[in-house]
Amino acid sequence: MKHIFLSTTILFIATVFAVSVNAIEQNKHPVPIDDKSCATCHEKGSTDEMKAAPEAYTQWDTSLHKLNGVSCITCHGEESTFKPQSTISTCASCHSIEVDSMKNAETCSSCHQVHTFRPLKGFKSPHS
Amino acid sequence: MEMSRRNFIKSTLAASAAVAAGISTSSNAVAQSQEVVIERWVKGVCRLCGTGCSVYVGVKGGRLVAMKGNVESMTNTRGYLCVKGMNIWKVAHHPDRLTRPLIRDGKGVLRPASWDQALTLIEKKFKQFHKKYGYDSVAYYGSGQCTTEESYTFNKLWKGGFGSNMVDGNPRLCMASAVAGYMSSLGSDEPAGAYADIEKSETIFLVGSNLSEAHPILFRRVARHKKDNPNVKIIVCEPRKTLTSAVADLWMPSLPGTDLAIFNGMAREIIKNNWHDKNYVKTLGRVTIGDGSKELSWADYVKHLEKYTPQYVERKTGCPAADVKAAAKMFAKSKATLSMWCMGLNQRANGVWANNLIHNLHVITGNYGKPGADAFSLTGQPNACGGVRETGSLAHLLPGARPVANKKWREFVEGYWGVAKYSINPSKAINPKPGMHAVKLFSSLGGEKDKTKPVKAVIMSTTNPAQTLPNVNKFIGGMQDAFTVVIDIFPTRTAQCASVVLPAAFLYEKGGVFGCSERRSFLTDKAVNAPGEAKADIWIASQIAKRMGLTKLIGWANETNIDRMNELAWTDYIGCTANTEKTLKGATYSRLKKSTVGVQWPCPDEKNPGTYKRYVRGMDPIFDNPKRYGYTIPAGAKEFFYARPHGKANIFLRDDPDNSEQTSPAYPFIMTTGRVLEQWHTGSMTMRIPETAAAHPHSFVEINEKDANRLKIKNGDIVKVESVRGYNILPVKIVNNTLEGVIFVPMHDQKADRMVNFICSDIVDPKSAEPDYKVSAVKITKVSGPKKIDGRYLVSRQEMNKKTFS
Repeated sequence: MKHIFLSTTILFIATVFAVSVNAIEQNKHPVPIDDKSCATCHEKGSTDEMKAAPEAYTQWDTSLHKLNGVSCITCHGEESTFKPQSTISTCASCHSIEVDSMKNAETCSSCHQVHTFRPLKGFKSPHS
Repeated sequence: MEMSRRNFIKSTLAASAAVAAGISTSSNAVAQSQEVVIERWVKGVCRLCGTGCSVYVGVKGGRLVAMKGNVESMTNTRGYLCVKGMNIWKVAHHPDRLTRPLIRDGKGVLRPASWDQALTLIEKKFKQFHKKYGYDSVAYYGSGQCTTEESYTFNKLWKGGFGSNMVDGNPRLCMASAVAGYMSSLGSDEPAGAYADIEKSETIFLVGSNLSEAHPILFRRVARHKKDNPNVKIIVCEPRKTLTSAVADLWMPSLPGTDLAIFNGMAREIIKNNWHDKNYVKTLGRVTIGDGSKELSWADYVKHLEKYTPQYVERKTGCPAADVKAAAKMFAKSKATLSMWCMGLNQRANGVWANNLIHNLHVITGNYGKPGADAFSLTGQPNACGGVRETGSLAHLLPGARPVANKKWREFVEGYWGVAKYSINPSKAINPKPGMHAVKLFSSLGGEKDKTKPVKAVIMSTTNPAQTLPNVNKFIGGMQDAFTVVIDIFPTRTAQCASVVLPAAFLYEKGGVFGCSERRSFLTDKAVNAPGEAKADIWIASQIAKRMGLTKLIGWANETNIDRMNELAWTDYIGCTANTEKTLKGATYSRLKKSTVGVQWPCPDEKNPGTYKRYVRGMDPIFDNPKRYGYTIPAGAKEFFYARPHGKANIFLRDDPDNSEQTSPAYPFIMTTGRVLEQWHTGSMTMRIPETAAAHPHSFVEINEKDANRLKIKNGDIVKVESVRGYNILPVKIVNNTLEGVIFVPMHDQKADRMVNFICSDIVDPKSAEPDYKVSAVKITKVSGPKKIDGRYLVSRQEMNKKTFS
């Protein structure tokens, strides 16, 4: 039992840090943000600057996260703290009940579409 | 210590959160692995708005490294936090922290000094001014961000020790109209209900509140309630169609300063349609006018409302007549209606009347004493209610939020504090005359050479009036000329004016009690030590007390352990107010130490769970022994406003006078100010958090697209926004969600030419003395096309030595 616990914990940490380290390795935003609003480049139909991943912005734009003021910087940081992929730990800042109920090796995006946060089809919710 | 699997995962997650949040600026995997395990989670409350979110701060190596919501919380249910709250711990170790006392020398430069030097200077000046100009020449200006123990200590020191009521605080600038509204309508300050009413309501009336940005966690509760219960009606009444309106069934636009007509119009419509609760009005309502002393008839009230036809309201406010009718129906026909408001109602020339009129709607529809129904004023600061309103740390109050002019209560407090024995004022009594409210205090502050200014010294804690006062240019000279002491954690505009700057401990470096909007007091435990020589305010107040000969008055003055000082001050406070309706006698320090949810007053003993709903038998413990609190409640009364004669709430006849500054051909726009989601107050903390600074790096002016077209200005253009008092230079943000003729400027920017309070009107409400920040007449002229803005501006240590603001 002890071994199982140890190995699952190691697996869990490895998963978490796979995400974190991955984030850190690519932590530079591709172009200087320079205090511009994320929408300047990421919003679909934006007439300014370059277009970048507008589908992510579009998904977020319809989400409950947007309604509740959870914006790009909440999960992705700003220029000096930027992470292209958010971490499960960031999710846990608000959703620790849900994170606590997850199985090892699961991340939020295992079951939720990344920017709408709607549950993906075919997954049974582990949350009570 | 053996660590459970669950806790191990939690610790790991949080550490990862810390890494992700930017603690490891070196950004390498080794650094991250060193951050793996949080050593301790320490319970506390969020340092920012008045919601009172319950949190845990993560500590590693004696430093704050993370923050998470408390999943047991009754405020931020399920542990949700907003972007400010989840990042606020980052300011604790910011390199700009003030860590040594500073004294301004003859050349105007702030020089490091020892605590002994700083306190000796304060003692010398205070004693000199007391002797030369009287005890009222030295003032204390506090904050809804000090702990209850700190505010209580300063209040006791001034009112009990110096015999001076020259104590006011920044809640005067945000909550005073709500206080006066509750007192005049219901007889006792603070809401009858609680946040728990949100999920029990059938209609929610949000007025004068951009809840989505000013109180995002409460907005989340409202939005979730609507999502889970689509039949719930939400009405939003505000000049701007903000994100708050995204969940609304009805947005009622209103020109700033005019909504009193809307409230009267809704009341008229309710009565006209026979939707009012006649039995409630008969048993619990009383029609009155003016100061409330003269009773009028229901017919007088109905006659008074006749003017407020939907058509009149539309002409006056810009709110469509049909919306007034629809809102009245939603308000009155629901089984439980909850109104929530904030600065949009309070920071007004008619703020108290606006509050009275909201209460009117609740009285005539019987929307107080049942689950889901209440008239709920939201606070902007974390301890404006607990620390300032309940401890009576305003110029006209004593602990228990009772007036200093109330002889019986004054004599009780004098006896409880031992004023006759300990006061240094020869009167050996609390002064029965109220001191000066904030705007008057700073108007009266000046140097010794200025004979027109009777206030010669002020000590200001955890607040920044040199940025926040309305028409602020009027007050800066007085602050610079007088002997001013500033207690803060960072350089601010006020510190820039100070004679002495004292470095303060951050909340999680000292602990203490905060009482939020819903009457809930919650103890934050000290988590880490303060940096350098920074000290807790309670220690500073105690040192001043000792030097002024008031060691015996402040019974914790000789303590050295901050936790013990807090405990003694809290215990003294809850003893003082034990026989008021605000009793927290049952919320002992040891109980608060153990509690992870806090306690709502009234709470008369340790067995009492605290009170969700006031004025209702079976819920409010005041009904169990009303005599103890000085009240009489008839045996059969189920609901009773016991702080009012005969238990009846006032229904006020209030008109809709145009007391705010009016537009003119020269100043044709109405400017209103407010918060944005990611910033807080003067930005001294939130502009030092990378994420929140990036999200809102500088101020802007929001303008309707039709107005912009007329002025031939485009998005990003730089314009001058100017009133008769001053101006800002701001980039333009064109919107289509606000009324024509109305512009909005956020209030957080420290850059001199973007400090909006240089523009704001300094008209105050005649009753509450709260300034009318929400209505200023301005003009707009184009300066240039788009330009790069020097965002994230912060007053630096160097700038504190400059007389002018950059």
